[in-house]
Amino acid sequence: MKENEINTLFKKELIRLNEKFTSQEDFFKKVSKWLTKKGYVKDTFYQAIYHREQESPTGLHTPTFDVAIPHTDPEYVYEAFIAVIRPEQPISFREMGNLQGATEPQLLFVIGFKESKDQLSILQNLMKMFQDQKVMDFYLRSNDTEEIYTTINEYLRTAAYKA
Amino acid sequence: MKKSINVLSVCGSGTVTSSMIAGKVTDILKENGYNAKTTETNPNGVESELSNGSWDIIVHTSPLKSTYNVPSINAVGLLTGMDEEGFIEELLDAVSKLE
Repeated sequence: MKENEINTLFKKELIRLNEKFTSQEDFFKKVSKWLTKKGYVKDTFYQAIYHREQESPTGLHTPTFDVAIPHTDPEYVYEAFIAVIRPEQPISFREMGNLQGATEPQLLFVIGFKESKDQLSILQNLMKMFQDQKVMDFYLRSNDTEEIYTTINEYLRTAAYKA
Repeated sequence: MKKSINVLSVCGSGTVTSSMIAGKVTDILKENGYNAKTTETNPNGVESELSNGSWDIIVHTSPLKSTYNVPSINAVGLLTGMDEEGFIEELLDAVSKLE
């Protein structure tokens, strides 16, 4: 993966820490509003991503802690992005792959794919990152958006070289 | 014993996580002496793929809409590294029963 590809996907302005959400629906509403305002997605994005989450949930148990990677089809996205949101309280998401399991994500990566296949490698590296206790703990602890941004970029860039 | 395995890989979009697991399943099968052919689809596409082709196994990261006559395995563990061994065991067990 090219370095500039990572830099264009992750944006400092799309990292939100300690946000309050009352429900999963509230989460998607608020996040979609930010993304629409900033011009990343069409105004149909909210319906699409909320619906997708009900059909194909994206909550994940990982070796560190629960995360979620909500995403939907490229047709609702103007510009590819990855938004990182850390809610003040975990939000309930159903588990990916089945209709029974529940997860309580503490960190959510909302992904706007443009050309799906091209962004596979970044998702693969995210999965590696989710298994890394040291950086994941840091993302939960830190209140410094800049530092989190730099760490994620650095991590994915290095993981990309290793891969 | 069947050596060439047709794998239908299913995720919500039919492109992203299904491609990731298709790649890994192909590698696992190769390492264990099988050839794999994979196709990706979304849950709504499963029915027509099944009626238009011959499939040996379904691996999925999105819940399936129904129960089909083809063994299906939840492959989310392949993405996250949670119980990857359990998945591999289940996969090899399923393909070893194919005729």
